[in-house]
Amino acid sequence: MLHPRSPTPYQSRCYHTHVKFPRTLAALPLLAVVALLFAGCVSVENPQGWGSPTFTPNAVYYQESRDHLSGASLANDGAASRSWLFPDKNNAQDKELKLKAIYGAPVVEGESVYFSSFTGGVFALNKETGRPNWRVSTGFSGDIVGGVAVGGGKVAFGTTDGDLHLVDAKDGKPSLGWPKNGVSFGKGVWAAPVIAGDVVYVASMDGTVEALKLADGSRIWARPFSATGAIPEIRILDDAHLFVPSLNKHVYIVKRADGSVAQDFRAADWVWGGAAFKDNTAYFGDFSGHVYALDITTGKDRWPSISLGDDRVKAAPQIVDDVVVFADRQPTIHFLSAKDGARLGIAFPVVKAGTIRADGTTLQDGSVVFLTTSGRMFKADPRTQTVSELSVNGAGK
Amino acid sequence: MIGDIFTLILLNPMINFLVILNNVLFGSFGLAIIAFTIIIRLVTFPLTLRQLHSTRSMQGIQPRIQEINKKFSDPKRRQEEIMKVYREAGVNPLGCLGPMVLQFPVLIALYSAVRLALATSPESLERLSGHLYSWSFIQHGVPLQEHFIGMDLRANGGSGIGIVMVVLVGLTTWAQTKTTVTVAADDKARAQQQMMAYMMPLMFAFFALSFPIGVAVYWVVNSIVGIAFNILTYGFPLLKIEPVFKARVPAPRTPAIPSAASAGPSAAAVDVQTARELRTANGLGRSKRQNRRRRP
Repeated sequence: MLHPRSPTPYQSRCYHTHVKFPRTLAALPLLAVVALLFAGCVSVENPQGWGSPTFTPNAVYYQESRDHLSGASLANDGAASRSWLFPDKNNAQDKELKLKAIYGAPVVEGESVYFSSFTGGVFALNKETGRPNWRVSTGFSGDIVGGVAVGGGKVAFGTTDGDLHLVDAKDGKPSLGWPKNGVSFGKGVWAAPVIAGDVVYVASMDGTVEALKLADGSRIWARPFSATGAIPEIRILDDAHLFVPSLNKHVYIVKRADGSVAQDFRAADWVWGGAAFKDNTAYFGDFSGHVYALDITTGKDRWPSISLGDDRVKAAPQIVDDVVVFADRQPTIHFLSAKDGARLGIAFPVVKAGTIRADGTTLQDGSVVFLTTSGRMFKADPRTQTVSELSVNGAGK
Repeated sequence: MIGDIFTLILLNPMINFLVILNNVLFGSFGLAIIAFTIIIRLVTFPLTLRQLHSTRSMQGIQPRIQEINKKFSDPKRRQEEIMKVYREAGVNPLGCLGPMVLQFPVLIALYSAVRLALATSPESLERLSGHLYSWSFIQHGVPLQEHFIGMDLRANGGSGIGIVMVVLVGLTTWAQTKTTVTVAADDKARAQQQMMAYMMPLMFAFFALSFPIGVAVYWVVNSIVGIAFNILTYGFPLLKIEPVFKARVPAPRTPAIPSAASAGPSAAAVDVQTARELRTANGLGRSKRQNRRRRP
């Protein structure tokens, strides 16, 4: 009798037998496909955009949905009504247009609204009608994350392929004197460039910041500022300093004159957003939910960092009088005293209103508006520490 | 809760390991995906091997199970006989499922890690921050370089050169199926298997059209490693490659069947054939119909 576990001569050979395939095994590949699809659905987020709204005295321009920019008129009583939507589904020219997401705030200059979309390129729209004056969708490679900067009659934008391009604000044609294929950086340019006078500041995800002449793209600093982590944002604080947060958890205060480091501050987590600035103090938050008040002259905290909760703080805060208004991703809006960080109030806008990632915008009346990813705007009043929705008539249709 | 445990124990370590590999391999995320997939598959190879062996053993006793199913209509008796065959053959009926179930979370984590680390959108990169350890070596590595041999790993498989990867996904999945599936006993089962052998590659190629190319790279490497494991375990007769990891194959043990030693490599086929003969000759075995008639 053969022992069940004893080997036999044929067992040592390849065993391609004529047997029926078990049904359970046939079901497993299908199970694998379902699992893969499930894993695919839960693990990755699609582009939504986080461009903040731009207000003028009588209009607001904002990302109404992830792939639409909207222009709305503002009445004296604060009521808003949508004037136009771009792209317009009723316009044949717009039917093939896919913006996908808008990450930078639209810029209003003269009669035009300039903005960039993730995959659709750069646009200049007539601010009254919402129809395009021009569009730049060729001549560059990669996507646009950072938004546009407008100044000196030029529009600057960076791409995820690491190039900084400059076009004329009038017609969208490549700027004369600027390198034809843009100024190239090591990794992608995710931060919106900043134009100040005849200089454009640009940050790259390889951790460098450079100052270029607007006229021809030549480097101004003897050597670029360099950090060990990617730089997804760059902001001007004052005449002398740049706010440079990095994904290495550091925030650098960089001198605009030569690119040297004025202060190097370590946060608890990634800092990926702008700052509110007043009295030499930069107020900002990080992805661990902590907020800071950094004195840029000393490099020290004006008050100890405060944890707002577990949610990421990406939106740049705003400071009105002595109240700093922060918004976390949840979204929750927090009112803190600029002097000592004391909590003055907290407000939850609306359940299922989306998340807040877009920077806050201060209005003339002193209120701060935050836009959520579902295209809804909430107005925070620092005086009363209350939040109300800024509804736009005709939005969402 | 389960999701948190999965993230903490599997997903986060894998993502961080992937970023470390990226930093070590000259900042090439494509190379990191390839190395990462191979390493994870090698680490889980003992489980894979056990599963392949169990599957083969189960396939080996299928003729005897079929025969028992035909012979006995009483479910209790049938179950007893089947269990007896399992015992004699030393096969655990869940033996091939166990390792596969254990591997499943690892494979899902592997796939999710590649997708998450790719950061196809700014929101994905924002989310990735929550999965990375605080080590500066890791933090300095993001965002990962998305270009690899002329391909944008974040782009969809359907765009540009990515179509090459879509074709490769189909081809390697097909090759893996061909090195795994055995020939069925009857025409119906054979047709089902043939359909599976072509449907699976087409299905995955279709998915690859909408997945980022980086995921397609992972899938191709994963399939190639799977093919290698199949060949190492089952051999590859077409190229006269003998299996390296030889499994214990259960010996058929039916009174009417000649001893396994004299049966040679086609013992199982003989097994099936003998079962048919027994039934038609009304010998030791009884048909289902006959057994039904004997019921009180």
